[in-house]
Amino acid sequence: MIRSFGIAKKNLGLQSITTFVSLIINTQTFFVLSFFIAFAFLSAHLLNYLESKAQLTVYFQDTVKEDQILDLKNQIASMPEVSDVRYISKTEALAIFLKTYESEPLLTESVDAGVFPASLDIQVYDINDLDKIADFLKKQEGIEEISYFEEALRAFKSLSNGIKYVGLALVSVMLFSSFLIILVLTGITIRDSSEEIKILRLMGATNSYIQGPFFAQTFLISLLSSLFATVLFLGIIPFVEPLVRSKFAGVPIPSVNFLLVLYLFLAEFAINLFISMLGTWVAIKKYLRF
Amino acid sequence: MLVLQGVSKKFGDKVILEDVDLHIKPGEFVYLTGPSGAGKSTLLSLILREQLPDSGTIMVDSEDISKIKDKDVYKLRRKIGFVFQDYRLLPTKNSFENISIALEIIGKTKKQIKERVEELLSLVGLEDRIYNFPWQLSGGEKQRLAIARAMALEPKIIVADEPTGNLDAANSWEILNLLVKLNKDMETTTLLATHDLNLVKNLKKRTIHLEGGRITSHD
Repeated sequence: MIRSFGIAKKNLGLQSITTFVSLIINTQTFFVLSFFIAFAFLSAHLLNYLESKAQLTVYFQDTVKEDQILDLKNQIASMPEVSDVRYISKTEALAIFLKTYESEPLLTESVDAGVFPASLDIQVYDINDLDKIADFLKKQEGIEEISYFEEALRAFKSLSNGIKYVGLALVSVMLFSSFLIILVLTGITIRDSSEEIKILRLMGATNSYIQGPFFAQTFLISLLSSLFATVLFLGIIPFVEPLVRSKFAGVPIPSVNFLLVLYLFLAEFAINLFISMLGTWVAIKKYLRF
Repeated sequence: MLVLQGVSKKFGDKVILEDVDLHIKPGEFVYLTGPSGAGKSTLLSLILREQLPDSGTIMVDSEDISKIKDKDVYKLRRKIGFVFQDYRLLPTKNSFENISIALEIIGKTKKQIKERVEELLSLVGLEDRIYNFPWQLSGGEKQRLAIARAMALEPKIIVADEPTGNLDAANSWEILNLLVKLNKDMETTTLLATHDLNLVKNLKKRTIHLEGGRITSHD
């Protein structure tokens, strides 16, 4: 093992240009992958957040009595698609308004509870069920307005999925490039060492003794490129994070912490190692005949 | 120790070896003579199982080497030391490392390796060249180093393909004497391929003459 890593280190030094190219390609691949993972994480978080907010609000005409609204609330709450229903009375609506605009006295001084309609905030488990709930509500009497942002949510989900697919395709192409680079690098190393390998075989070296340094070389490249990609990603976080936070003001986005970065690094290293070892294995099968 | 029966080998339409029978006893020293292209190197290469014969069997230490699986060929190679005309030394390693790698392969400890390498270098008279690289050694020294490496694993057989081919008369004589001494002291079966008949004449040993891929005479 130590011998394999020693030879691998020496080989990487001897083939400095090829090593440099494979490090650059792999680092680039996993840097992009970091972004893709961060995007997937962020969009999933945003979607969860949006879905957890009131998805449908029904406003009642002033003629509808509170008892009727509470009856309707109970009916809605018993529907299997509904996860939560909250009644907001006229008084509560006023309180919310006053709290929201407390810094703007011009807006709040002449307002009373009479101007705010009573409402029900309804959350469903699946946004695709919003239509069904809305249809049910439309059949009820005394409904002033039904407001829901189903289309916005669907658009966000579809955009986020679109970006994920494009990102996945891009990362797949880059992963394939990394695979090819490792295959070529190992092929070159095998070719450069062909005389030495021939002699080692004649001396009675086992397959694993001969292959060991190639796998060790791949391990080192995977480790270094995953490390470089993570460090680069960390380096740009201070510039990107405030931008994201300002775009999604009000949404509680979790901060990048050590554990998150560690998981990111470990995930990338595992993928990198798998792809690179596969490249090395293919090169050994192709170029190193026993 | 080494038995060949009806061994034939062709490259395309060209017959390299035809129906070769050979029997070498343990501890024997045998010359394999013949002109260039007679099939000497191919025969040695078959014994080392670098390639397989088209027909016939080769038994090394009572084992049919054609039946050895590719992944187990290393076990055969550890029984056979090789010495070639072009030395086959590792150019980026010094004398110590060129020998130690053979011991490293079989998993010897650093201490065992150091002791054995020093012993072997002293055996071939290269103890003062321990940290020299092959390019810093003369032809004779390189071949002595190759012999030391071949002996590292205490092989049962030494195959030497024109080991004196690149050397002057004095060095050739020295190398031959070294191989004979090792054969005598360690009872290593030795098969030495050469086209240099002066060597054969000066140090009488059993000689097998190969010509056109066939054994034409046994002494």
